[in-house]
Amino acid sequence: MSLLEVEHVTKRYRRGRLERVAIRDVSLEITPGELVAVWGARFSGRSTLLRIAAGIESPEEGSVRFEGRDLRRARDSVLGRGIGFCQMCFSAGQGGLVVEQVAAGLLARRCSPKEARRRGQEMLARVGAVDCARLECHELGGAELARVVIASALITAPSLLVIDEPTNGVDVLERDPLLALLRSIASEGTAVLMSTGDAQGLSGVDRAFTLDGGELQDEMRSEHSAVVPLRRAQAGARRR
Amino acid sequence: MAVAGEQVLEEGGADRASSAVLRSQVACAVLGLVIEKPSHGYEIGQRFERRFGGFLSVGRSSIYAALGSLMDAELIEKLSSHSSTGARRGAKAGASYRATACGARAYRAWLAERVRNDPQRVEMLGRMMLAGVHSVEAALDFVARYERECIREAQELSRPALAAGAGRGGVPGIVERLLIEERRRMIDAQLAWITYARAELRAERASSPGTGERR
Repeated sequence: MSLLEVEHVTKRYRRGRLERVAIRDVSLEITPGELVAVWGARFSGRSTLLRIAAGIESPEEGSVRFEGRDLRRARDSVLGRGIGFCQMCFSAGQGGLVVEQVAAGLLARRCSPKEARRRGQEMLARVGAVDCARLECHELGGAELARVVIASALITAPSLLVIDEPTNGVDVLERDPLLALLRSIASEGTAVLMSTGDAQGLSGVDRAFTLDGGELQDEMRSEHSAVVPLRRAQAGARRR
Repeated sequence: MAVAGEQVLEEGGADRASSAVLRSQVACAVLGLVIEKPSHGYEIGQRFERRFGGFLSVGRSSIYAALGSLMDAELIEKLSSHSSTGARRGAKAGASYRATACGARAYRAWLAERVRNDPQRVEMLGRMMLAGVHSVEAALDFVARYERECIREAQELSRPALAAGAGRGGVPGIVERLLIEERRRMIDAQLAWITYARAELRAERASSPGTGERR
């Protein structure tokens, strides 16, 4: 059964009398445990597609269903629970320690602060960022930030993780280990939908969709989903 | 991406006969020339010499053998004797050939796969495209196939067999990683070109209605 079904979705943006079609008649499905990439150049509509798939935005035409439920109606109960959307930044108002940020999703669900903090620490260890737990958010480097936002999204145990350009702003030598993390998350059962604008982001994905001018061009299915990172994560890489 | 009026081949070029024929570069070049213009065998031989003489040096018998193979694979067909298409005054007597829809499609698929990695790719790309891809729709189809080849290679760069060597320590491991990274960056450049080519072709289609494929 499909986890996510995007069917004939069209999204337009209007500014005054000007109208731009961001995505047009796009359909795709994601099943549990898949790692799926949407490849496209800038302004191809890839970020719009991901926001719609995550329920952040609503399409003007077509429908998005998550676990059989229409996202337009079930958005509040799904976003942050069934679907984890990774914002690749923390807002200026979000101060505090990294572990507190990661645990925030649990506090909102009436988890005790002590338990939320413990599970936040565990999740940071899972994504390879346990060394960042006691840092302030603004102290994080590119790869650390990516790992921390992934931890923040995973803390509520979603069945779908949506992440827009995970390697954006990440040092070139840190990208493969980050992609390997996403591969491992999918392999453990949490589907991952990501966007990418470069060939590296396609490493190890189960399926790749190409998007151009807001229209899906093609779908490539890989026979080899188990990614072996070209460059492995360095243990204790953070030196402070 | 289906092109109007063409028979859709199964994914991956399921037609084994055409795949076998298109392993011959001569056959591919001949097919491109037939797509460009239906012709008699003798005329194809003359055009082959002019177009590909610097790349492929073959005798006329090889041209006729290629025509036979392409016929057997149903990538080209003989024109009826009453048809005037391709029958040029002064051309030597004999059968005149034209490409089938399947042949045109198979040619672009071969071209997309071939140009990605050929050391003479720029020259080949130009000559082959001029020969066998001569409509905006056909060019867009070629671009889509080229993109598919690039994406597939990018996915496969992470295959365990390829990455195992790069996982080794020391200089050999670094060298292998660097070579894989070189391929990735080449693919990025190719994908950027594909984005550009699509924009150009779509602009051309918008400004010149009726530039679709003839068949």
